[in-house]
Amino acid sequence: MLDSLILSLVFVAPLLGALVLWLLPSGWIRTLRGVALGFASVPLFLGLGLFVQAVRSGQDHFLLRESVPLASNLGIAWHLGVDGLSATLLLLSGVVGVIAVLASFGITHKVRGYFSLLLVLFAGMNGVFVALDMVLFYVFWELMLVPMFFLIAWWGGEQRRYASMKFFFYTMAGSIMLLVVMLALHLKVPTTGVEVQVQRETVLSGLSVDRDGNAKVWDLPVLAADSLGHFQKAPASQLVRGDVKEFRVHVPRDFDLLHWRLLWKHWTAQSFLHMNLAAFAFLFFFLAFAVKVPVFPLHTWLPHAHVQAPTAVSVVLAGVLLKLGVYGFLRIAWPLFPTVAAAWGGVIGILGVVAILWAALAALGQKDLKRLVAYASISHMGYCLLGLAALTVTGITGSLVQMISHGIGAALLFLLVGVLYDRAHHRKVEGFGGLATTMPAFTAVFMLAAFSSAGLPSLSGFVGEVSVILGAFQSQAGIAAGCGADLFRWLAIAASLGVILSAAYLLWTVQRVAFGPLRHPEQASFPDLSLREKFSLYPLVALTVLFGVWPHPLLAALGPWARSLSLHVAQAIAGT
Amino acid sequence: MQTIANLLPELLLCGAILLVLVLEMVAGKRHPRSVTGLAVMALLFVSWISVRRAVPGIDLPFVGEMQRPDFLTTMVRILASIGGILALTASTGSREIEEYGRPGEFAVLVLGLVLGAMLFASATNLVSLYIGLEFLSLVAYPLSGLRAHSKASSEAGLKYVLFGGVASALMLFGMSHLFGLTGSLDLSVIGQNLAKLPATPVLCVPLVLVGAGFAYKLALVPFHFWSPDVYQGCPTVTAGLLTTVPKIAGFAGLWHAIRLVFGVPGSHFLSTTTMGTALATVAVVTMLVGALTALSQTDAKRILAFSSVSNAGILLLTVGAWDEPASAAALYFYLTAYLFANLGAFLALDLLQNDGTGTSLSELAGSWKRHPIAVLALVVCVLSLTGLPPLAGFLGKWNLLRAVLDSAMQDSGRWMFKWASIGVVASSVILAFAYLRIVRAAAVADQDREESAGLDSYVPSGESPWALIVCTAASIVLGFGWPLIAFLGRWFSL
Amino acid sequence: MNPLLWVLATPLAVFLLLFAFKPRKGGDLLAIAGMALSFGLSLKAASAVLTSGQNLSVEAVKWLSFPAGTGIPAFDLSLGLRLDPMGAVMLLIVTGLALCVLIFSTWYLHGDRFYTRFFSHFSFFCFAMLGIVLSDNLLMTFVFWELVGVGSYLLIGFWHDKAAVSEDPFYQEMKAKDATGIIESKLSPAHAQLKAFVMNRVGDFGFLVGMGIFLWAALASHVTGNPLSWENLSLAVNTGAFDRISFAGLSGGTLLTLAGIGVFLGAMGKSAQFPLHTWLPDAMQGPTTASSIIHAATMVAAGVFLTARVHPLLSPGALVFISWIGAITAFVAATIALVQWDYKAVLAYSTVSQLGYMMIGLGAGAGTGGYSAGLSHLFTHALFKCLLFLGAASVIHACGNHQDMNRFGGLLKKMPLTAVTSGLAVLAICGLPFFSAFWSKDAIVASAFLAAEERSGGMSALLAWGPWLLSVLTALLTCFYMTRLWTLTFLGQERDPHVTHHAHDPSLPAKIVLALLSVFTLQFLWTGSVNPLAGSSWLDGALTPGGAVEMVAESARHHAHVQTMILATVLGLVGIGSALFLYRKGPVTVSVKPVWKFLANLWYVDRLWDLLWTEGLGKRGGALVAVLDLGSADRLTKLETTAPLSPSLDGVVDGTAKLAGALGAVFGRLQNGRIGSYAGYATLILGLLALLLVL
Repeated sequence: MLDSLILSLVFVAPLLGALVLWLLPSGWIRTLRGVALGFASVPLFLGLGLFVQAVRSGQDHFLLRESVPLASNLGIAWHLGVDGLSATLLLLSGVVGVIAVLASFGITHKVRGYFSLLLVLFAGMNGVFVALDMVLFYVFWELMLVPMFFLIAWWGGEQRRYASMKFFFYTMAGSIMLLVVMLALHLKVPTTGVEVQVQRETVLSGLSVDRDGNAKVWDLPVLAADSLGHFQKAPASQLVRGDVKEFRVHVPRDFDLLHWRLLWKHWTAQSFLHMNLAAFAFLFFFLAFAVKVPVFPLHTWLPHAHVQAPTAVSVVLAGVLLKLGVYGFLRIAWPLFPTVAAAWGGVIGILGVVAILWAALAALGQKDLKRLVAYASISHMGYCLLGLAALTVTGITGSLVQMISHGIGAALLFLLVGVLYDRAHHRKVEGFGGLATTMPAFTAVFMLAAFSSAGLPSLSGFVGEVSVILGAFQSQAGIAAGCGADLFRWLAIAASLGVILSAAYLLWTVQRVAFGPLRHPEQASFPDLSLREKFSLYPLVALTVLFGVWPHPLLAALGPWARSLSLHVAQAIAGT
Repeated sequence: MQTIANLLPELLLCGAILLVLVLEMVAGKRHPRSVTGLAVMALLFVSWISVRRAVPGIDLPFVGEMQRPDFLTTMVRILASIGGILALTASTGSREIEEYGRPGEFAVLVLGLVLGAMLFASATNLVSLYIGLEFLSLVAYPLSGLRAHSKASSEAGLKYVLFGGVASALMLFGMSHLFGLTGSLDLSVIGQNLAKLPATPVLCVPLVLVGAGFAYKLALVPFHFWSPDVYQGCPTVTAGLLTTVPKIAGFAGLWHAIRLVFGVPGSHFLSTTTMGTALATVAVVTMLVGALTALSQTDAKRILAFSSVSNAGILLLTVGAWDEPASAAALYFYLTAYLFANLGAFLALDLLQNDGTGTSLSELAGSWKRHPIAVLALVVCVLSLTGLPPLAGFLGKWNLLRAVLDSAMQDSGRWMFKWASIGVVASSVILAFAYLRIVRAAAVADQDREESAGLDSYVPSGESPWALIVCTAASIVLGFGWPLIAFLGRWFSL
Repeated sequence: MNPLLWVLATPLAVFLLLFAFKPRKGGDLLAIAGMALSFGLSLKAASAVLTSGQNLSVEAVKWLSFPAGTGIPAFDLSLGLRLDPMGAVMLLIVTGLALCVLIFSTWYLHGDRFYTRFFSHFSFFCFAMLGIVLSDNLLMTFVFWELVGVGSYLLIGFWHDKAAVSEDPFYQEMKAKDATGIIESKLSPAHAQLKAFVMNRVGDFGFLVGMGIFLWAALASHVTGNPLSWENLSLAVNTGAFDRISFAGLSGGTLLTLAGIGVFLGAMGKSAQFPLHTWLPDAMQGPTTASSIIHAATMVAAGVFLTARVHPLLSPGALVFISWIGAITAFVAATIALVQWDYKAVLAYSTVSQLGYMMIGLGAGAGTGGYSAGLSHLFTHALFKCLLFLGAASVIHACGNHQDMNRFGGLLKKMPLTAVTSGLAVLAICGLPFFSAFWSKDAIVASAFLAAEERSGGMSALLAWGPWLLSVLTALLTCFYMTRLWTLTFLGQERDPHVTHHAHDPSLPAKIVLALLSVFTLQFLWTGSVNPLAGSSWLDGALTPGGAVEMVAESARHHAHVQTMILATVLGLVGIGSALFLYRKGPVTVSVKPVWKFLANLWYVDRLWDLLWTEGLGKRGGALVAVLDLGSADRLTKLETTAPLSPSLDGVVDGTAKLAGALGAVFGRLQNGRIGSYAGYATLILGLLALLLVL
């Protein structure tokens, strides 16, 4: 019970905060800010604690996990869990959340509504990161929609309505198919459940021991053949000894994502709407998550949303929401349908690389700073996709690290654009020039952020990018995808071109904004970073440098996870 | 005598109607509120009785071969009464109804509507079926034409009458056919006799004709045309009532009819599968047409009207799905969620309307400045209709899809339902966009022109907002209504 | 604690301190002290290494470690320090020259707005370079490689708020009289730093690809420890790792060549090899002292150093490629230098040309002695080029920041020390006997000759002999343009008194630096014997190639050496003589107009890059993609109302939405409010249905 209570806290606390805010009078702006900050920082501390644990353990098992039946006859359970991946992402969302709240102190109208919506948004994000039941996952997933819509629509720029509608519609269109898919998967399991064979490694990954020493995987009893060939409950000792290789597990009909992981073979045997069920489900899961990532060519909502959203919302959007898409891939699409993921790896990898280059070129052509950063985000998320498709440990680890570092870097860049906007009330690139003389501190941070997302070694941006590229070079995924072993090496080479382009558009921007003679005399009076801005910027700077110079924590928390996924897929390919 | 007791709620309601009429004559002028109050009391009592006398299961003895009040009927009784109560409560604060000036009549009509719903819901005989349908319609006509001095309203009433006339004519025609073919008015007998007949396509004609009657009542394509015009024309509260209560009843009626006629084992005439396929097709067409048309509307009431068409299509799937307990539970949970969400949306619109604006999107613009709470309620209800978690609408949609897909997977003949589930999703997306336009107009858009100055702010009476509050609260609470689903499933399967 | 760590850490510490506290004054002293400490320690370490011949190293720390996957072992791309003889010399040169330049800068930059900032940036720059020198693996080299890029970025853009020179009238006037010598200084510092970094990134792209292939190969051959460490890489290559992998139908040697060229591409970027050389002349926008270190010991040296490091991994094919690139670079740059009027520009192109020489040497292979020749030229060049630039600094400083040689002249009397020291450096670069380049450069030419002899068996004569031919030609040109530089500046009479009338030698510390450096232009300091023909050197330990190589016969090498020396000396004298004769009276333009134009436009390489970056990608390409993605700017302004559909990805999305709306509108139109038509539709559809059923 304790586990699920602790884990519930990561989304209950923000919800509670929203409630409290509603009870407070809307006039007490300082109090409101304080309360929001307080409740937003709860997930941060939880995330930090969990992350440290994950780094310590250096394994891919769950640090906390508990499943409480919710509506047993419907197969829904209150199943929450945190492993290295979730912990890292929780930390990220905690940091970004707190910083977003700090960055929102500038908001002056409808403060109460703003902060409560922001907190609900956090609740949704964090919920997704801990949910291990498909229905719960979906609930949290959709929970983010409405607050985001109103945050853009009420506090956004001049075209906020268009942008918010587009965001809402695009994302919902992406995700609502999940309703059908999850039910199809659920119902394709007979009411009596199915008995599936599982590898020893699979069992070990989710091993727990019940009262009389029998092994359980994800709370399901593990069966092993006895001398007579009857399948009996397997004592854990026997498992650890490893003399038996083949085990059976009886998986009931439910929505448990971990149980579904055991069923990957079962899905491939089913069909739905004249399509292989696994392929069908993977397709729609992929689409639903691809919209969030966003994967080329489903990305066009992002520039609008970013340009119109207020700074803090952009920060959350780029810092965490985009990660949710990748998280979906990692938690659901890939583990549940490993064979399909491998088979379509070629297309996915190509999409990733196209995103990298296309978005980078688009960024070169932008005149609006925020839109430019938005395209930079799209380009960087392309690396995540490539690394994931490469299916090598290095590649997957790379894409995970890339997620985190992009979360930090993009947040940083959007905050910086916000700093400029607060002073100049516009975001036109050519509307600035030579700010380095008037705003040295700003310029320093700006350069650092630019270099980081241009993948400069010793800053966090590098670790992810280089791992993805190196991982793609080692990848054999092209074979499983039926595109030849060379595919991913070509993709790696193409992706490396992104290194040139990112340097070009980012440093060119820095040059146009910060260097050269002061182009607009009135900007000579711009104050440098204020204390509040420093409070929101410097932590991110610190993280960028920390993870760049000492990536070990990230790798220790994420590496094993990447390994287990890579092995899971490899076994699946070998198994078919 | 024991069996007649099964109709106790209906009988009580008849009594209540008479009482209200009397009270209206006696004290209608001086204490209009008391009349409404009495009606509400009556409905509360009736619903309490129906709860008390609720009997699990679907198979119950007939009442004089006419009615068959099973658990389905119980659900209808409860939901219809709740709808009536909410509408009546809201009416006390509704400008349109107040201006009409005879709350008593309105109350009587609402009670009548509820009674008709109950009768229709338990009808198992062509005659009682027809009576129920006509009762429902005859009460609905005046309700929609309530605003006598408003052209739109009376036009709505007239359209309703004419179209209803055509529909019931078709239905009656079909019924006579059926009687001629099978020599019985009792649906179960009809079913058995039909099963004996040799299969010829011509036999479908009467069925289609009778179906048309239902289609008209439930506003299914192609008999939906009347609904948007009517709903737009008639008072908003009434529109809310007419988009929900008749559906609640209609589906029960349809449910019974189909089970009795097609549920005959070994029928070599129309198998449940082909029937299911036909229904699913109609359903898909309905939900898509409704949703798409809703997109192009510029009036909140019309958007909701078309959305109700689309929803009828979605609901129809459960009837065809034929997986009785689960489908029935899904059907009625969805209807419950839909009742609160849809009625709530209309009530919220009515509240916004009170200070003289219309319900067109442009007129709604900026109303969040004037009635933040009402707009909040509107948003919640509309989002519930959209089917977003954690609101009631989501649970309803999820559960409905579950039932539909489940039955589809048990029987390969029901392949159509798999596609239908895709259709549900597609129409939900399209509808979401339509709904979002309401939200955007009411909750986001700024007032284009500064009109609030010209508006005389109308202070609604104390009770009326409660209806809206209840609807909103229910839309939220039911979002966590897993136990209710479980309960319904259990009781239907007993 | 290990000295290497301190050598590396001190400049970084200095940088961090200065960056964090931004002291008003004393920053310069801190930096000098730090560099001195670093120099002292490297002296200690280097002497230990050079005498013993044993490598010093600091055990690696985990950095990027990945667990094992399927078919791929767990590996850790660790960070470790390692000092071998070659590195030792490089270490000395970097720290030593850095120290000199820092001291010189206290005079040169005195009173500059960003005085202290220079010292912090400079320290960072040296830290990065030292990282490359000390790194024990390819990835770590790449890391510091990029940091060197950043350091140069910071120094080139030092005067970040300066406008482009092209905006000042003096430049316009010069342009008017076709003084194309300063054509490249049209960029502002901010632009120049961007150009430098991006051009380097073009090279780094290749580096990254090469590294990817090398890592893949190393992992395929299951080495233990850091798969990218120098030992493991050569181990993998020698154990035929490349035969185990195949890419694009290539395998074994060909793939190795590909990987090698990839890494060399990085070197081309940093060492300004053709066609990636264009950033270096623009880097002149930085303070001249910064240029002096960039051109001598840090930035450009890094490329050559890397090529030497990975030399054991390079296949013969890659070596041919390298020597050709080197030869082309050397020749092209030399020809451009002929027509420059900008003092610093001439030096810049001479650097590019000399770097080309080093590459020719490295490309000639270890067996021919090219490897050692290339390296020794790297070392000697570092010193005299640093000297030349400091000389340039004092000249420019003395002449009120004018750089145009047209306006100099007769400075010999006004600043004798500068003149003499620069003169020595010129003689050195010309490679006359008794001067350092006579030993290193001519060795390169000789090795090119031997390599050509070797290769002429395997490939066409032109392909084989080209590099040697070009290197000889370049020797002639070098002597010509360097003498031209010196003559125009220091001989003759004053041409423009406004510029030169109060010219004078720099302050004492700067003078000492100049004098000190000029000593190193003498050959015997390097070879340790007065005899110019002495083949051996006290540096030999540092110049022995890694891995086993079979040398060309001693006799053949000696033979080649002697004849090259004679050739070079003759050519050198011719070049010097002609230049002295031509320019004794001052600037004259001797050339066929089109040739002049071609050279003055830098072979149009800059133009081509501009076409690609500024015109192509910057202005057009990006904008085009942007429009294809979100639609025209016009559309973006109208989104809230009625956005016109424009052919773009986003347009397609909105288009589908509009389509749905239109479909709905069609149904909506049916809804005409006429009850009759409604009944009509209904009955019509019913009829159709009945028809369907009947049929």
